[in-house]
Amino acid sequence: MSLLRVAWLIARKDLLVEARSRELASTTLFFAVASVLVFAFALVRDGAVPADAPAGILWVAIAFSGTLALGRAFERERQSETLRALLLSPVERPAVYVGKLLALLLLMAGVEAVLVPIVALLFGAPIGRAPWLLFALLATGTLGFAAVGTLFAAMLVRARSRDVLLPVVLYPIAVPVIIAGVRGTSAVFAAEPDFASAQTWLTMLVLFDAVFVTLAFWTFEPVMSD
Amino acid sequence: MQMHPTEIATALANLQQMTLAIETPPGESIPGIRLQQMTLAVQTPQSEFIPGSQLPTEVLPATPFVFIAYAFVWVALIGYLFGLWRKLTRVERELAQVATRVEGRRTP
Amino acid sequence: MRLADRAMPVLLVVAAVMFAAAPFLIDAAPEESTMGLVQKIFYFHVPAAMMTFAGAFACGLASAAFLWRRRPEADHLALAGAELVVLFGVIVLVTGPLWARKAWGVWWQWDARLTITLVMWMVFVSYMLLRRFGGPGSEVLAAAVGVFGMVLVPFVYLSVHLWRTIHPTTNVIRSLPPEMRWPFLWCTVAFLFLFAALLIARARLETARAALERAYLALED
Repeated sequence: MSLLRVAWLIARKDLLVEARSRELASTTLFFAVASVLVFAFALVRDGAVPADAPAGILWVAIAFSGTLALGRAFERERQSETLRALLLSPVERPAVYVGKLLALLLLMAGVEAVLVPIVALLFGAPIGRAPWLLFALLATGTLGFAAVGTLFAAMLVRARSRDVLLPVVLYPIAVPVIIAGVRGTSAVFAAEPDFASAQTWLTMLVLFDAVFVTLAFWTFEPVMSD
Repeated sequence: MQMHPTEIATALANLQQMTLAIETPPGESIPGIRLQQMTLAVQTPQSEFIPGSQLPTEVLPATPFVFIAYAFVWVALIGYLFGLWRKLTRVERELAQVATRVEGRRTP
Repeated sequence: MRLADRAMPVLLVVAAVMFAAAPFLIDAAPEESTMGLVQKIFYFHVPAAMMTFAGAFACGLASAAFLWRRRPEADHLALAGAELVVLFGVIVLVTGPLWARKAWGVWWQWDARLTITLVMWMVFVSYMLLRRFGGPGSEVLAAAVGVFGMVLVPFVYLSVHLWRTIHPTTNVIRSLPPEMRWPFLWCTVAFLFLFAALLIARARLETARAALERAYLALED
């Protein structure tokens, strides 16, 4: 079976499991909104947040809730030992990686589809101003974060202290993605929007994604085999 | 960094004064850094006027910073080297001990 | 490894001699006109920063070799490289703010290079944490982190140009006047020799520890 077909089957499996319980989607979304609220209360002064805050708040919420979703998605695999089964099955190992990544991306897309309008509502962020640019920034940023996150979450499944070690190893490496995402988004949201700058940050994100998705794809097999 | 228009005018005037007061050193990019540095220095709010001939950097004495920086580097490097040396000799000593015990087991 | 073992004491001695001479050379170098005396921190600060990148590459390449071939010496070298990134990183992150406080008036600035240097340092601290607390099999996991950490380096340089920054750009090094360039090169070479010596020694310590564990296991049989 081709790699993409296998990856889709794995992703579909995850999405079906999720569709039945909706556990991951609802908890991740709620956690994202809760993070937004916490940051809002931390930063609001005289009824408004500082100018650049909405972009930052949005991306922090994505990073935190994404980490939670990653942890939970692989915890599920660990509990039912299905990851082992997946790795033992006669499919190309990288297909497992792509499948899990795809499932997580679709989940995060769903979460962000709700989160972005909420941020727009709470902080008056102009999301309608350049919707495709904003979408591209969110998509490439989430992909970069998820690509590294999926690899690390998978490899930590059998490690000790896995819950705390995932953010410990993921966040420093994901920081360039967060920086580019926030700076690009705030360039779009700014009172005087700087689309050229946002496009530069988008290019950086695309570059980052190309490099790190490829790297994760290559390292998945050697890391997961013992 | 937001500044009131009159603050900006004062800052620019000070900047011009400072630029004229200093001779150009060798090295192409150093004036660039100086300009950026002075811009940064000027943007911190002032409670009083400082004459343009008196550079803000002269307020803090440099020697303690240089001394602490170099002292830290020496301590860190020598400390690490010393720690390494100690651990290495300890492990090699233990290796020798275990080797003799293994030999002792084998000989009878 | 034989060659490395024999080279190490030589590298160390040369480095020691160069370090002993360094203060005199640094003292003789002219003071920079605006920043004055405090700019002299540069002679140790920048070479130390270069060594953090050297460590990152050493760790990354050794990690890649370990991931694909599983030779234990590669793993030991990777660990040594990561530890040196942490060591030299601490030196950069302490001497930098000391310089900054005097030259810029603030201890820290969230500009591109400082931020990404801090991030790089944290990547390799996370590497060490993973090895320490990840339990058995964490060498392989850490190797993945090492590879990613190394690949992150070009993004460090990318960000310097993308962001407005008050940190002196890399042009400063190319445009150094000779009275400053020679002490700077001297210090860089000294740091390089020291780095190489420490890398070999630390890797050797790890290999010795692994041999000790095997010896204890053999004893129990």
